[in-house]
Amino acid sequence: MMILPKFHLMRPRSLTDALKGLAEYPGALPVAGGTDLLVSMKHGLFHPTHLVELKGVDELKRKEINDNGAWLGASLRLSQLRDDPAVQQRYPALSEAAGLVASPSLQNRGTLGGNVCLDTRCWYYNQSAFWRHSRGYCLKREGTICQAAPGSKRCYATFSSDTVPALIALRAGLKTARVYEGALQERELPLEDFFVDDGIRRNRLSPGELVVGVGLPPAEDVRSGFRKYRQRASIDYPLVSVAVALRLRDGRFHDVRVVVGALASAPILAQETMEVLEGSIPSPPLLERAAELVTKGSKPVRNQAASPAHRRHMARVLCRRLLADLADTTAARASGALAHVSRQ
Amino acid sequence: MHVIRFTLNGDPVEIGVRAEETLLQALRERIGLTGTKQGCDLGDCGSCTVLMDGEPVISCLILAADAEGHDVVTIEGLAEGEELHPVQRAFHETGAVQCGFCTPGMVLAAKALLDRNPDPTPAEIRSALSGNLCRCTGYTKIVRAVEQAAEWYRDGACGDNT
Amino acid sequence: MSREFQWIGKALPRVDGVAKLTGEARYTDDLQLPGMLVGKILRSPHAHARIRSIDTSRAEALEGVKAVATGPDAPVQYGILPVAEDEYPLAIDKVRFVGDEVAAVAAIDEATAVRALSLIDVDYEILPPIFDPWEALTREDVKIHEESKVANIERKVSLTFGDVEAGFAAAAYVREDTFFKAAASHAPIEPHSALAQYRDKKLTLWTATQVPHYVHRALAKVLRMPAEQIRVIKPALGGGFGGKGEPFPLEFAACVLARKSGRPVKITYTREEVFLTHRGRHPMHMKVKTGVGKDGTITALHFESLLDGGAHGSYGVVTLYYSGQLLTAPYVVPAYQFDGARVYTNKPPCGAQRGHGGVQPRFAFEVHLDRIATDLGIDPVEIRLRNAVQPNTRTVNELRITSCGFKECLERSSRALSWTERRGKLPRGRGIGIAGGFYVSGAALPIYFNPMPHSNVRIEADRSGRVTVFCGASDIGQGSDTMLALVAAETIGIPPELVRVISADTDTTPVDLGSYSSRVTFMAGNACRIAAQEVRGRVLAAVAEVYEVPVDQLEIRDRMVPVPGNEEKPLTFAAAVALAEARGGPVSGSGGYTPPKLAGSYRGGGVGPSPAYSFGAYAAEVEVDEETGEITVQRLAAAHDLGLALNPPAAEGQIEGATVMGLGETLWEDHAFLDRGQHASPSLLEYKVPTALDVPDIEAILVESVDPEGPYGAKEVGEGSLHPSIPAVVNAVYDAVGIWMHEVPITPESVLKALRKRGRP
Repeated sequence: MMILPKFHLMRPRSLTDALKGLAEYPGALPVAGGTDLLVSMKHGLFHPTHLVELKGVDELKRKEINDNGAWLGASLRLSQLRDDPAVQQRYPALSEAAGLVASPSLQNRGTLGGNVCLDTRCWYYNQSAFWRHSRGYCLKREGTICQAAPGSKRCYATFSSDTVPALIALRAGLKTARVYEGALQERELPLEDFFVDDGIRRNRLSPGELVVGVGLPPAEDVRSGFRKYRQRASIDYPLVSVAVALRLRDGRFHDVRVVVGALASAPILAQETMEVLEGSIPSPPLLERAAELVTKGSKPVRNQAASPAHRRHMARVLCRRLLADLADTTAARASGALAHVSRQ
Repeated sequence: MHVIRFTLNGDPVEIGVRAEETLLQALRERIGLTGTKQGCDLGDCGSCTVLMDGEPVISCLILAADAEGHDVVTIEGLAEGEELHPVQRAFHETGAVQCGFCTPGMVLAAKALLDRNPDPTPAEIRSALSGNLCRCTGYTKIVRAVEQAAEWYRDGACGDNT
Repeated sequence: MSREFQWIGKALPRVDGVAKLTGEARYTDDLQLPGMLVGKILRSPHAHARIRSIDTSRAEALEGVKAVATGPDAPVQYGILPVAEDEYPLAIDKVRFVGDEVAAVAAIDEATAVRALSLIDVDYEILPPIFDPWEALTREDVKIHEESKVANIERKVSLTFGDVEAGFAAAAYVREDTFFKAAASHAPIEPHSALAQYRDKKLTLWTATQVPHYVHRALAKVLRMPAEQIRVIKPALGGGFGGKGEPFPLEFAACVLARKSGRPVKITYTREEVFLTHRGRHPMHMKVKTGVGKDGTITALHFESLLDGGAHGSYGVVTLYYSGQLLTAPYVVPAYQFDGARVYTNKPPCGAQRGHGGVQPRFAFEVHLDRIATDLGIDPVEIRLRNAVQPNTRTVNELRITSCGFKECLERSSRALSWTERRGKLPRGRGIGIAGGFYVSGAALPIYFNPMPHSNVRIEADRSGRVTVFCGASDIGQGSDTMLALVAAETIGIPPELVRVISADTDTTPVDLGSYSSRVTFMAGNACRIAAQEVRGRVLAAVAEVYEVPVDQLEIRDRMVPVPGNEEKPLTFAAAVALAEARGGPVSGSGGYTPPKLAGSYRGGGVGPSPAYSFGAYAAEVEVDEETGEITVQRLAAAHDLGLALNPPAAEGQIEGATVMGLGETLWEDHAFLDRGQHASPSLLEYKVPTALDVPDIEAILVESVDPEGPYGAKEVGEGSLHPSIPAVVNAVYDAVGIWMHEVPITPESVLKALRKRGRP
């Protein structure tokens, strides 16, 4: 059996109490679903003195979806996003992404906040204490070198959240809060600004700061979708993922957002792809050209099962196929293959 | 120690658990319900699946303290006396059990599916069970069993057990 | 055929099904004993190192630690094969792979045990490791085992049958191909677990094993205890596939720690430890050269294999022989040469995995044969039919073929996918393929030489009318307990619910060699039938005597023994047993099964012979996405000649499970290691056992050739049923997109690479 290290469990009933707990103990970590954190703790990657268990905090469970947009509390479970008809209808990219995280049973426990803050992953990092001791430790934990890219000064662990690319495509804003020197501080920022392309730091969360929830703008006329490539059709983390949101007006793409996951240590907003598509009339050559640009600048390292080149290739394929689906044209699709890639 | 109260297989339970104790440990070691299996301890295999408020969850990644106030059902809580639950009966009669180690989790995941959707397609069945690894059956007979159980669900009867 | 049976051939639910479905079944890790300690094993972080010293004093001083063990506590070598006893329970002097067992502790709880491991100081002298089998083949300056005479070769084999040179000379066409099959691991969902109790000079070990008898023997040897003081019990077991088919360090360590501490000790492996224990499919490099006549008739075959064995012998010598010996059927090979070698490398040991030894060569040969057929413009089904081995023949390497339904397998599986109408005619990206296979129903020779039966069964009937079967056979999920109940019931003539089975307990059950080599239905089934016949005979003899009717006018049916002329006072089976008991004491019968003498007349002729062979032919339909390289298996029709289906759903379940395991090996599973010997996928997240979404329904087709020596005509079904699955898919991929994949698993990247090389049309 792999046991959890000892810690104190705090079970606050309010957001303020939760934040106070996090502020009071520098060694404390928040936990909601626990589906990622507890694995890492069993692997000896985290040794929190305290776990602040968020289940009792009702403020984090709020869900509001209407014509003015949406508010999704951080403690909402992924299965709630997957199954909610309003999410499915207005923000299909998000519901698709939530339904492709790990496996259905884990979606029943994993939360939105947890998935937004998901640790970056690497096969030299997500291993048992024995394994890492045997291999030698890495930059991200206890070591001084990057095992995936020897000689590198930075950590290339992979950004692996499925919901985040979808949320960024949907122009989500993130709200966080913390208690600092006794005072409640809240901040809001576009979700894409939250992440840092550094496998160790990975986001801009300050000590004691907690993700409270995510706001989404109205989804009127927005078409969106999410595609994930992994070896098996369940359980696995993404080898690469693509999320797209756009409007189709007067036969042209507008308000295009394309986000690539799992190709770097942060999600990538594919600016050049978006620029090519914006205002253009969908056509197979256009989608081809746009998809070709989606991996520009990304340099994943070999730190999981598939090669970086193949992951980049698949990003382009997923991107083109997803765009074709959203453009409601079958011209650019390879016959019958899409269902396989996106199968749930 | 945290004293927690929850409902286990229909009965109220009050136990003390350590902060770092998982629900799986509490069920198996503290309460002695060993029907819930440990196959990987990391949430990858699904053999520790239990139902929490009717939904399948992975008990090796849930703190025991988190069971507080919830309704937990394990494989031991499914049959009513001698009468197997339709999913259990279907697994038995279809030949969907081999080594039996994934079976408790598989049965509970299937039950949760049928409670929600008594008329699933084979694809929906496979999807609902996709977090539960089986190494023996190749899944064919498991899917058959769930289809059979679904039929009994829709007939509104567990069927006579003769 | 099955219509004349009362119970055989009908669906009998598992005798342990309800217990497994309600959580009542107790697996080893479910057992708790008063005062039980938790055992943990310290493992080597180095792939190859000499142990200069081990200091356990800090661990021993830790509060809650009750015993610490190291190599010298059990300094006796063991191994599943007498020719390869090269393991110690805990390392002595050397460690040979990352994860090699070094020391063990028993403590009051898991946390204390884990902490104690970190307090054991081991001083290692790092040695250069070897990971590549080709390097192991020639490198002399590094010896993983000092005993290796040449480089790091454990064993080399060369066998020649018939006039190979003449065969190739006579061929109209000769083709040569190389193949590689990556390692795979069993990944049973239940991790290994062992619980030892030492009390009153008696040792009891409950363990998740496929081979209680071999564990029993090994414990006696290694612990230097008389076998009669040791009891090995196999509780409910959560899958083996070969991965629990030999004695393991946790079993010895639990016993040593229990003996030292005076308290029960349980060790359950983590999932990572299961992968480090391994003993799975050997990575195999293969070269196949075949000569054929114009019509595709095979004239000669030359096969070469290099097996990457990992750090120990395990079953490897047998694997090596099997890799060559199992290519002389299901096709007639008139002249055959085999050259193989198994080498040591600094990785977890490879051993026996479902379909042992034959899976890799079968993949290679079936794809190779399809290439020959394609080269000659012969249909793949046709070339197989033309070469198909006939019943009641001998292969060139002296394997005795008796019952054989191979042609029917080919016909039925190909028909299931409408072969003639669809092969070569499906839209691009879709294809169908076929492959054959065959496998042993148990080995004709035992692992350690002895003249005793391979399987023994004792049956007792008591006056309540209940019948109890005692057998050492190990139900690992395949359903051997149910098989025993069924055979006993059918033979005696009573319903299966009257039969109880007590199995796999060395104190109470007679020896069966274990669940490996697909031997249990054939051997324990035959032993059970003999024992049941004796019980039936005794009961009927007593009735005949009492009622003064000829015994041949009596039968047992529906819990009754109808006596002619006595219809008004029906005699129940229970009453009949009581009559027998009153006349001759306890009503029991015993049976043993010893295979006929079948060993080949040459050195190495002991591996391959079996009292019967199963045959199979699978047809697969795939879809290949030429842009992503992904392969989806859409359909798989699996026709397997199992002699006779004693319990059809159970037989289908074996075929379905084995086929999906084969699909896993075809498309995902790769038991690989990183450059310094760390396991690349030591979890069920990274080691890709297929999920329910990754595979289709398997269409199992039961072909019944009715074996003359099998119990009621039955042969094996659990392992040979893996063989054709891999090449059937590979051959279908060719039909779909015109590429030949010579390495499995087939990754999407390898498909794209092959497509690029071939050039798009």
